[in-house]
Amino acid sequence: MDHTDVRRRLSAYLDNAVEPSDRAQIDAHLAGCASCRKALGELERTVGLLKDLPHVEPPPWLAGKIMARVRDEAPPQPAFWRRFLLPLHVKLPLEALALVFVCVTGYYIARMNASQVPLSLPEPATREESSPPAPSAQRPVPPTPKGPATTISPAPTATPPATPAPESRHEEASRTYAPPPPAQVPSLPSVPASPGTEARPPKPEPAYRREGEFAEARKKAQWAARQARETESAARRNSYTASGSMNSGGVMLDASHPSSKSSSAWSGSTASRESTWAEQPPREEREELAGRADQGALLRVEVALQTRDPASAVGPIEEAVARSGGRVVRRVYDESGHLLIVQIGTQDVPPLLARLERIGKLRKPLQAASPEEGSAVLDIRW
Amino acid sequence: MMSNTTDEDAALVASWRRGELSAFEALVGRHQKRMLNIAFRITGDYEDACEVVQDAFVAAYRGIESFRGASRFSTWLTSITVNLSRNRLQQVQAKSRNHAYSLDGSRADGDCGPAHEQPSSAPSALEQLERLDLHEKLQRCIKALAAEFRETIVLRDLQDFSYDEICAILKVRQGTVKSRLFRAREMVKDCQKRVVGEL
Repeated sequence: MDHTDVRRRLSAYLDNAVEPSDRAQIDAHLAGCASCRKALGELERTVGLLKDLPHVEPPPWLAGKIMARVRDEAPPQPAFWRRFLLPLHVKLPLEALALVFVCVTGYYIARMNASQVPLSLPEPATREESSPPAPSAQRPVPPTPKGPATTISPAPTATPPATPAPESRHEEASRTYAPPPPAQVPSLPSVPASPGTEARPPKPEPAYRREGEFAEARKKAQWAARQARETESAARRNSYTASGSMNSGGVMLDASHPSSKSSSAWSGSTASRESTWAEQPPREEREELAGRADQGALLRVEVALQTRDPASAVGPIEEAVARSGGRVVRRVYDESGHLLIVQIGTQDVPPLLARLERIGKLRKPLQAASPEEGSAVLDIRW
Repeated sequence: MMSNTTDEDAALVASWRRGELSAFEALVGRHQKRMLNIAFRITGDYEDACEVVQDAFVAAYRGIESFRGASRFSTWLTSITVNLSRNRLQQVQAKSRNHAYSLDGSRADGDCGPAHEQPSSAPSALEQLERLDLHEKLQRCIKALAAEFRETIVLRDLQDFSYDEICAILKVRQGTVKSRLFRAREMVKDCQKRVVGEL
């Protein structure tokens, strides 16, 4: 270790911060080197002078000024309730709970408000529909100054011959619009239905549950109506001979199933008649049913249903009727109340009432369920 | 003694974390003198040192969350003070950069650095220094050092921090501390020999 190495290590040597081996070498070198000993002495005196430098005293105002600045920096003490809520393990669960509460309340309010939205487009105050639905039921009803459907013209006196629709089509329609499937329509042995009534293919009822379905169905109905007119014209051109039993009615077009247009035809009816038939319930059938019921041939049951939202209950009620094997004879949807006249087998009345009880509070006569075989006319009001 | 001081500091810091401002006030009372001397020896100006100490304590108050207790509170506070002193020194040097740097002027800032010596017909820097007190001369020798040497020699020889603590405060390795300390002591020794004569 030469002079330079020793001089470099003298500072650490003074602080006893050299390795033991280096210290031994430095000691050995210092023992034989006067200049390095002198340098070490000067370094010791310099460090001694530095350590002897007096300490300056802080001014008396320094601590006060520091604390004044710190107090300005310090946030105000939070209130008691805020200090209670400040710990995260308390605050976060409370905030999460409040968020859930707000979401649930908002969802509940939205559902309540949504039930007040009309489920169909603005229509005349009173609307009557017949079963099976006429093309106009699936066609947009033009706003007429006549107002409600109670003023529409009389129904045609006859209906077109039967053209049974394929079973699969009815099932599909049932799934879509929940109409009473024709296969489940109970026979009416005591009421010989008119040929037109029997032959008329059941059409899917527009039990629209959403505006989108309604609009889509209306578009399909418009398209089907146009096709029907075209078909009618073609039939006339082809000198299609109307039989006596097809004097004024016709085979109904399944407006919701455009594919059926090929098997559908109108015979001997004009467009105006078509429209009239569509908007008018089968008066003969209704009158006959009513007459038979009045005469006691049919069991007539009137039930009242209390629902929170009558408009939204239309779909479930018609679905219940369809599932119970009933057939909707007449619909009266009015602002003051709804009426659904259903023809159903007596053995199917109890299941239907049970289904209706699930929809709303049902008030029915005690003798509603008749064990006798036969048909019944059920007036469902809600 | 050191352990007791450390324990007391830790207890005061814990109380301060709980929101007791009196604990912070006690820490100010315990450390303000040492921080002031560090700042004064680095900046070389008493008023600047007072401002640096104020800023250091306020910064410590704001940044108590960053103090995790891995080192002593005094080490952490000294680190803040050294950094603020260095910043203040750089500001002062930037301000006086355009001024003629000579002991002949109104600011007699020392002449230990050869780069700062200017020829003058007035009494030389050595003559001025000879008229000053020995401590004043030594302070000027310290002030003539570059910032990194100044910080190291102040922390070791004036405040008696250990090498490890200096490493933590300056965030440098021990070899760097030894090197800087060797050079700083050599420069101060040479300055003293020129000012005072024989040591």
